[in-house]
Amino acid sequence: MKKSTFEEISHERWDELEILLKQLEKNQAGSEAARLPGLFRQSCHDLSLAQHRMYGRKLCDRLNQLVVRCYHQLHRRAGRSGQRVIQLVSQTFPQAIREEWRLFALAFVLFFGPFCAMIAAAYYAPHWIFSLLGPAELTMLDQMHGAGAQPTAPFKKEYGEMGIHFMMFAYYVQHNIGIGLTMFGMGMLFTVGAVYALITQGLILGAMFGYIHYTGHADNIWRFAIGHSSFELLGLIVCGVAGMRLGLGVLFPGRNPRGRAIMLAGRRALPILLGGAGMLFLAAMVEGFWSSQRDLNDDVRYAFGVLMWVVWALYFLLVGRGMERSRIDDP
Amino acid sequence: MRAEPKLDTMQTVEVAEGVDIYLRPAGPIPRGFAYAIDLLLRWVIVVVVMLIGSLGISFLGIETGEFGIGMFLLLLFVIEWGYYVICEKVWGRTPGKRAMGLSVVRTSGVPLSWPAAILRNLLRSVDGLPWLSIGPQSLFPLALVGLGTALFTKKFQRMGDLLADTVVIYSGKTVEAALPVLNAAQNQITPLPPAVALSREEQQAILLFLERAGLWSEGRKTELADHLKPLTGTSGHAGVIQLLRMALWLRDSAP
Repeated sequence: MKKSTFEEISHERWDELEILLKQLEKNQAGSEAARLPGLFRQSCHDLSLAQHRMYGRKLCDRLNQLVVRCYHQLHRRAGRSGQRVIQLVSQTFPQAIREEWRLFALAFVLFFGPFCAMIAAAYYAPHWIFSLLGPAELTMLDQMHGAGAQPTAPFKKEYGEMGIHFMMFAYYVQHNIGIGLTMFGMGMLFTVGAVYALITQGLILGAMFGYIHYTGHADNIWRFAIGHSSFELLGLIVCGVAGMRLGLGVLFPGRNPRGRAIMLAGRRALPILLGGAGMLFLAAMVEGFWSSQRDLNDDVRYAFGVLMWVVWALYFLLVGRGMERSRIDDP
Repeated sequence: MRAEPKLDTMQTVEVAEGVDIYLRPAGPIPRGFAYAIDLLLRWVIVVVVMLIGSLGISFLGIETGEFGIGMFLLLLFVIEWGYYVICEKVWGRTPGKRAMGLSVVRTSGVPLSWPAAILRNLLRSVDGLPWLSIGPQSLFPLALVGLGTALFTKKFQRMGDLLADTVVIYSGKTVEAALPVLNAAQNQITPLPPAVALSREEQQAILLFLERAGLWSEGRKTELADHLKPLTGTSGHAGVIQLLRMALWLRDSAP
């Protein structure tokens, strides 16, 4: 068959498919969408014929485009994101953390080791603290947690309390989740990025707490931080775990080729990362709207904070236990 | 099984329906341009919102105060981390990629899922290494890591692509498709059957020569046609004409 004859007898079908695809891509197709599979099969056939008979690049390209677009439409995922989020929270995330308990323990030590060391430094070697924090940070800390200070002090209060709380929340979302996500990505560098970030975060946060201890107002910062501490610190650690998991995929591919090992590591790390980012988001909410409230009783603050640590521990230990191991399906 | 070494970057994917579709992975240059366009666009969005927030609102006498700053910080977060994920998941391409005729798909040719879109874009922090500081809060990627990885993988995949099993492809019209079709009657070239029987691959090569001839200078055409001296019997411009005649015959008249 000549190329021109082939085009003549088939072009109506291709045009029909083209119109249908345009509608589908704009989500406007009605009942005629049922014609897609048939037209798709026919176009596949046409493409193989055109390739085999060497009808030229132009025609083959057009048919290839049609087939690819059909393929995209047929393999589009129906949205069921809500269900997947629920499954992540109630099953995949805590199960993944339990599976990675060794990495979790390591990340915990990498973070809390320097953190506690810097607080201890307040009593034994305060120059360590001043080598980490500059005058700007120290002033800020004094304003927020010094004698008789309020955590919201550095912010103006012209527009009412709610505005300040919202702004603090937004700042913590932008700043803290950004740190968590970067930590994850950098973990790809043979885990170095994640390990480095965990240690530095531990050092800096520890130095900030240490400085307030040093000035003798330790209670000021603890009553502020205890409420969101579990969310934020565990969230950072969890993001670090996800980053280390990626790096381990690069370092130790096991029996897989390295490319495939990286993919598998990504699949393992993703639910952990999403959980960690979610924790940091919650931390921003608690920090913005709860911890920075002025008129809360200290006992309530401490009780809430400690309770949250217990809740997180129970969540990681118990939720999803005994259920089938669920994973994020093929990314 | 090891595939034969190839001259082009075309990647074929066999779909369940038994036909091979082909994807053309895009190299670092068009992707670099796409990145620059996206960077500019994101920057413009931030600046415009900032101007509206600080100037426009004070002209209108509306005070957004801390709420305004909070919304701006959230916008920064979304532009920084969500821009690529959302664009690539929802449209399969960012505005910058669209401008360059690129889109992102899984290596199997299907559109990105949410996990794939998230994974490939979270790794931008690594692929962009080393980052140049070009001002307060602004970084520009030298992207040596991503570039290096892309150049060492067959499908030009950067780290994020490897992790998410994705590939950036040309999805717009190809250059060849825009070329005029050589018409035998108009150009007064008569089709000529080749003197010897040619294999499928040889026929295909000659047909590609015909299709692409419009892209090349005379010198390049002659250079290529001279390789086929044994077939055409002549060289130089005459060889090119001979070759085009054979190609026309193969295209239009071959049984």
